[in-house]
Amino acid sequence: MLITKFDHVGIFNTNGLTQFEELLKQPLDSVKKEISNLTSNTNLYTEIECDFEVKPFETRLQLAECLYFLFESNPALSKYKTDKGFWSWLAAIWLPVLFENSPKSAKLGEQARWILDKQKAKYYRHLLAGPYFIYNHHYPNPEKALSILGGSIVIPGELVGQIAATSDIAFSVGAEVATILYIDPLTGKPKKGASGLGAGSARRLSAAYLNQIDLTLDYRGMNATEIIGLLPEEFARFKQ
Amino acid sequence: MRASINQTGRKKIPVEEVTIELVDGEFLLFKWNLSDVNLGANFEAVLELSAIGNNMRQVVAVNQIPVSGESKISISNFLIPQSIIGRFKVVNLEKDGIRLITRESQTLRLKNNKLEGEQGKSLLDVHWDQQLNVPWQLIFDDSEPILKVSDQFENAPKIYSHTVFQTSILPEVFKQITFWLLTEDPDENQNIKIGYWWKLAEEYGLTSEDRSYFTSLVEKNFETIKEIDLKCSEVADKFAVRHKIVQKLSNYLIEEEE
Repeated sequence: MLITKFDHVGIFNTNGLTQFEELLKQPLDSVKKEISNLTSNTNLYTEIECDFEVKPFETRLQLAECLYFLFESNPALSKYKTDKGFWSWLAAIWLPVLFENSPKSAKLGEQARWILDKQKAKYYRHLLAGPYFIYNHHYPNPEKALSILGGSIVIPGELVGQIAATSDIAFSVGAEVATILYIDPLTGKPKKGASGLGAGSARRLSAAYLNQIDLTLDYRGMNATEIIGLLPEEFARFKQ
Repeated sequence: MRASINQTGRKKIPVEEVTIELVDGEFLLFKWNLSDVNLGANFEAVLELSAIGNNMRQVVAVNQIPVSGESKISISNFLIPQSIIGRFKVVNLEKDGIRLITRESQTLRLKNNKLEGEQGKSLLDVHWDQQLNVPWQLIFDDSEPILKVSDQFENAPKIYSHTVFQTSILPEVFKQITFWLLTEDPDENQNIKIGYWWKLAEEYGLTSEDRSYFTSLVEKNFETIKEIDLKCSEVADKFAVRHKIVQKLSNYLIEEEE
């Protein structure tokens, strides 16, 4: 297992962000080779002293927990919780580790996965800040949001795409509803059919149900069990 | 994202009756001055705050509410307070536990310190529309452009966030918005976003002379419309070049092939 210890974090400056943006246009292999030239070039970022380890994690939840305690143990970092330069440098540092032993289908993907884009429709896609924001909001019960924290970091999956895309669901009891419905409590992994297009899927829960009843029903004022009790027949197989 | 059509019989609370504003970055001040406080026998008045990385609910009143008042709400746990938007709703509590919304405000935007540009709420609101037969459509509602994306197959978020979709439509969207500005000359005082759209168009080559010339044309005939259209194409062209739209599309397609 590849573990690298650091005595600082970096905050990319404008030049650092531009160079990272340019590098991300290259094929994955080139990015993996070249990324350390950026993250070790002190002209491209400001150093903030703090001890932390970069190591592989299986799930977004584990990564988010690590990041949460990075902030908890280093109060000086608090002001960087939403800083584009901070999250982008951290993503750059983590990039080779995230692709270590990753499936062949893992791709660099869009820029917002690496460089924090603080638009409402995009911020959750950042591979580090996205899970952290969700964990931070649901703390001390982040496991209630396992539906959007349980997946792989580099391939977050359909559940994240469907549930985390709507912040009114991701940062409310909606995330817990999705967890109860779609996460197998024994394995912690998504149930079969949760990610598909079919009846009762996560896509149906967000687009065809919660976002629709939100017009007439104050569901965020109810608890997860009450909401699940209201779900129509098509969700029955996931209630078990 | 909620659909824009209200066919549910909820009453709208006029936008001027409720406001939110930031106080010292640590608190949010919610003020109301309601024209109608006859809200039924068993209700809760709830303010919902939604921001990048946080959501919050605050019960403002239960079963009775003064005509006017204010509530100071701690938002110290919000990551980006400037990205807050609000929704004030009156909820009727049914005996079976159902919480029916009987009244609600339009989306509340901060009166001060709101984020602009790349952060926070985008200049262009996007609505998913299950009835839309074309992939997208730009409409001009409430004195601002709104992008509607077809949700016929319940995958509007995927369509909207796809690189091919975005790179293909954005210059055209910008062109249509510039055309709207030049032909309709919407009132900037009615909606703050209009001012930002003008500024954006200026950034891409629409000069103040162009603006005064085109908006002062009282009668717009075929020739002047063609002239405006040409100007808008130039602006959209600059937008596409500055944002390397074609390169982004091309890179994406190459990466997909690999």
